[in-house]
Amino acid sequence: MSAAGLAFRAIPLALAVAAAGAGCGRQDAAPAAVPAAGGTFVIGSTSDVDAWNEYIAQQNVSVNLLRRIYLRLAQEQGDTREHPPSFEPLLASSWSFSPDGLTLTFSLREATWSDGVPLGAGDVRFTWTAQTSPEVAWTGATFKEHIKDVAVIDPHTVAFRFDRVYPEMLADAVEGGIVPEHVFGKVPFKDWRTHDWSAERVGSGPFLLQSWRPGDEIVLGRNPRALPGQGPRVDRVVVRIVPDVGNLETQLLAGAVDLVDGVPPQDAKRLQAAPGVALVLYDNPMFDYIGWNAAKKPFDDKDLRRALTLGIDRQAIVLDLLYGYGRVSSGPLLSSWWAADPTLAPLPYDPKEAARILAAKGYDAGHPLAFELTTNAGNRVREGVTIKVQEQLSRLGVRVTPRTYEMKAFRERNTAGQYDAYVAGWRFSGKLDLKSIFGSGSMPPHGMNVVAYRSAEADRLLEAIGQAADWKGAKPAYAELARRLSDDQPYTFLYEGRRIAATGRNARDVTIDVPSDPLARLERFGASR
Amino acid sequence: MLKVVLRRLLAAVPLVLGVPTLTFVLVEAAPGRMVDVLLGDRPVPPEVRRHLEAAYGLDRPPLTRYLLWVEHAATLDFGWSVSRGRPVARVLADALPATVGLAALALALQVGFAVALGALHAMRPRGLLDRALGVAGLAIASIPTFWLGLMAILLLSAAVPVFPPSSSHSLGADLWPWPARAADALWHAALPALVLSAGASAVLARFLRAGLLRSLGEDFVRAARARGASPARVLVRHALRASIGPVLTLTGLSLPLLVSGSLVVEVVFGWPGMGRTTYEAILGQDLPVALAAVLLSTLLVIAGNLLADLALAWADPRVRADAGAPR
Repeated sequence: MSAAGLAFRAIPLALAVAAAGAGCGRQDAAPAAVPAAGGTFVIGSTSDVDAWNEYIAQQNVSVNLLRRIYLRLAQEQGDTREHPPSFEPLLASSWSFSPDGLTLTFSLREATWSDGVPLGAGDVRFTWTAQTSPEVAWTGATFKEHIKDVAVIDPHTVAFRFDRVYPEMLADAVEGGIVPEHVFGKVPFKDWRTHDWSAERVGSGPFLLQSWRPGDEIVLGRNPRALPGQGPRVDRVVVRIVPDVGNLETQLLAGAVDLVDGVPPQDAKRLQAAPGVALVLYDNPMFDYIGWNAAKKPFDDKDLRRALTLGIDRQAIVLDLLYGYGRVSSGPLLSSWWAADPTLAPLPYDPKEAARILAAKGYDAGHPLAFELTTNAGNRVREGVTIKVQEQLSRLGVRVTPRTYEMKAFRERNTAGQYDAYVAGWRFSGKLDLKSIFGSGSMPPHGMNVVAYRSAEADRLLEAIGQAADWKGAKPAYAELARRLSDDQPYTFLYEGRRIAATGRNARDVTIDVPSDPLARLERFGASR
Repeated sequence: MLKVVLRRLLAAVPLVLGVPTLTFVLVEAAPGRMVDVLLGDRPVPPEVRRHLEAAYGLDRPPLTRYLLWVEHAATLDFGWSVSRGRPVARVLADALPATVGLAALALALQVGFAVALGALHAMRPRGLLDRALGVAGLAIASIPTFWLGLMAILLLSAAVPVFPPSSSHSLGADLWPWPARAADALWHAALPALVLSAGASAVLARFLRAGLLRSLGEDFVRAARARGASPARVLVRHALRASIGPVLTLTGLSLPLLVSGSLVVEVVFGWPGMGRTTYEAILGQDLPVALAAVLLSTLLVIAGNLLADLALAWADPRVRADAGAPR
């Protein structure tokens, strides 16, 4: 910091120090239940929390923070390469399936809410009724569609009853934080969406909401009644909300912020070169694709779709637009997922073969293939993809018109089938739901098969996946489905991105090992501030 | 004078009604449905979708929704903010002080810089300093605010870290006593206020320069010089006082511009005020916040214009007489 900066900073700091000496400005002393290193960890975020209730909130930042306040029965782990994610006990100490596999029983740990009220099986059942209430209208309610009842066996035992056996039963049961019935139950479900939840500050996790300045700053303080071993290492976590990521990067470089997640790829190398700054790379559980409108000619022809994929140099897109932080996709199964078939290679960049197919279909300089390629405005990478594809396919005589639409209009046009091709992405959290994307029964408004893909073989495989009792039984069907999709090319699978987080000079022990929950280890983060 | 105020207020009624109406029509006319934004790409059962629409009143026809909004707004109930999870009135109550504080500081800087620069201009008309200030002022007034803001952050926060690049306070400032909090708030507001006031300061300085040059040729200034007053005293005590009236009037007129112009500055500096709230509400399709924010901005603009008119009438008897004359 320069001398001038020090001088300016000195005025408020000097006054603050004087106040501290006079006995002002002390924080409430938390009971020393868990040894802590203390300090403040500062996270930079471009968006604010939209609701302090996981079942109302839409923003990722909301859910990521609420998971640290309202614990789940078990925490998903990031070990997805060999098998579906395993789970680490949180509120539940153990769980077991009944002999018929239809009942999953959890034993709860001795725990209390931050206000001292015991946390019990009644809270778990109440949470399930909220999750499945149409009045609450939780957008994740489909996680619970096969759970028919949650029964309280005793204050520390709760049983989930399913209507069928399937691989993701445990994942579905533990999805969503357990909320306190004695606090949340006072608000009727019909009023949940218009209740100010920031006033309800009773939690079970390592942190509690201490203060919130909307649009500016969130402060999480330690929960003195956190579960043994769950107490945070720092005294406070501050989330600084700054809409511009470039501004956040400036704060990171200045040491004012300790963690920025979602660094644009073009900034990564510059940040990495700065003293004290380190990058944390992790698999982004999503892929981007070009969706071809199969309800419309000529995109109903799978050979033509294949030719277009062969004519797009996706590796160049990864290098030029993602600056190498990503890899070309072979299909919808992410390479970091157990269900992916490592022997299935992405279609190559083969402009000669693409030209041959296009010529065979009757397209030439006199009769060029022309179409509009749309995406949502504001996503720089996807906007770049439309330009790249235009340039690459122009070498084959294909005329591509890139166009962007505001998100609401983009969605409406796609759902109504008013497009030729579009660039978008899918993000997976917890489990794969390919049926709602590729099932012929999932055309809008019943599902998200916006590209109108129809394949009896794919439907059969999706059904087989749905009926499999365990993941080992589902894996061959997943592999076969991936090959079918690779042959049919309803999408041109573009790339899987690597997500980039950057830590500042005051950050200590920042680990991101659960891609769907980057703050899963927040209680272990340290800070030298 | 009272008649002038009443006439101005009556003339403002169509504006107060018209601007939110136009905003509502424009947002409604845009393609797509709000519920799709709320749902994202998640496949949900139809009854969840229906309940979601019902919870926020999105299942009603647009005209009904608009009339309900007007009815509730008349009692200062502006509805619920979907993007902030709290009542719109609280969202605005949180944001308004930050914007008013920033605008007040920018206004003070604007007048201070304008007077100082205007005086420097007039010290040696058509001299090197006058010309240099003229070119610099023209450049600053021509630069888009967002770019000026980004450059200010790069220069004064990143390269030479004199000011914080964003936010309204330091970590832990909540626990400090009020003098420290006030100093900290000023430190954080300084750079955005500087950027917000820069363009207008340059323009006002040019006006003041013209006024000062005119005044410096007047008899009363020559008389002051003849009495032996120093050049500085002549400039500040005599010529400036005679030239400041139009500057104050223009400053009043720029008040609405400060409020509306703070949208860009607040976004660039992450300042938690009305401008950023409006911007994020529009991006997030949060119609109740956007409507209330637009209404509040309209009222601020009307108030600013009214204050400017009153200042002008107070400063210039000809205007007062004209406004009071029967038509």
